[in-house]
Amino acid sequence: MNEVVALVALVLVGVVVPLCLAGVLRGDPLSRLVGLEALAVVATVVLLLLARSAHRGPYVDVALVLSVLSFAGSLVFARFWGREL
Amino acid sequence: MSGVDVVAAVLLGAGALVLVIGALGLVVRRDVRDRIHYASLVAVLGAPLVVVGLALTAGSWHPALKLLLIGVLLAGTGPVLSTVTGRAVERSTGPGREGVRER
Repeated sequence: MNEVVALVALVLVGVVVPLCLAGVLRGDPLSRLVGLEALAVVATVVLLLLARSAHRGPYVDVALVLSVLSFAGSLVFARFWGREL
Repeated sequence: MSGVDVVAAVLLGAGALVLVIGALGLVVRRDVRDRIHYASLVAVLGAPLVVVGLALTAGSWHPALKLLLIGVLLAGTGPVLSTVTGRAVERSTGPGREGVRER
């Protein structure tokens, strides 16, 4: 039952990925960066839902690493653009 | 289907809905300052709702704790990224709107 619920949520969140990609593809560089930050969060959530609905336990570890690394990456981008690095 | 399962399903649905709304706002809005708000909505509200919903039905405490750690990481780093990005916007364009007072 929980797997089915996670699958339904995964389908809903799957719609979000192209939307965030559209946000990355339009606008000036900093608003694209904002889209990238949102996309990283959504990718983490997709991995978690995939781990539950497809019984792939290790995907949770991938999501954990992604949540840390995407933060570092976005931080470097933003500070570089603000000329603070 | 026990009560905990129902609560978890409601949290998952609410989180997914918040993610959809945040992404829609991200696409519709053009200005960076508007977009930052929707990106932090995704990170601070949507992702933790989904994570708590998953952690409630994780089965044992170890996977639940790992899920909650991810949720805390996402919700904690989201505002930091919003602040840093907003500061970068200020630096590159200056205070862009009428009524936005400079420090």
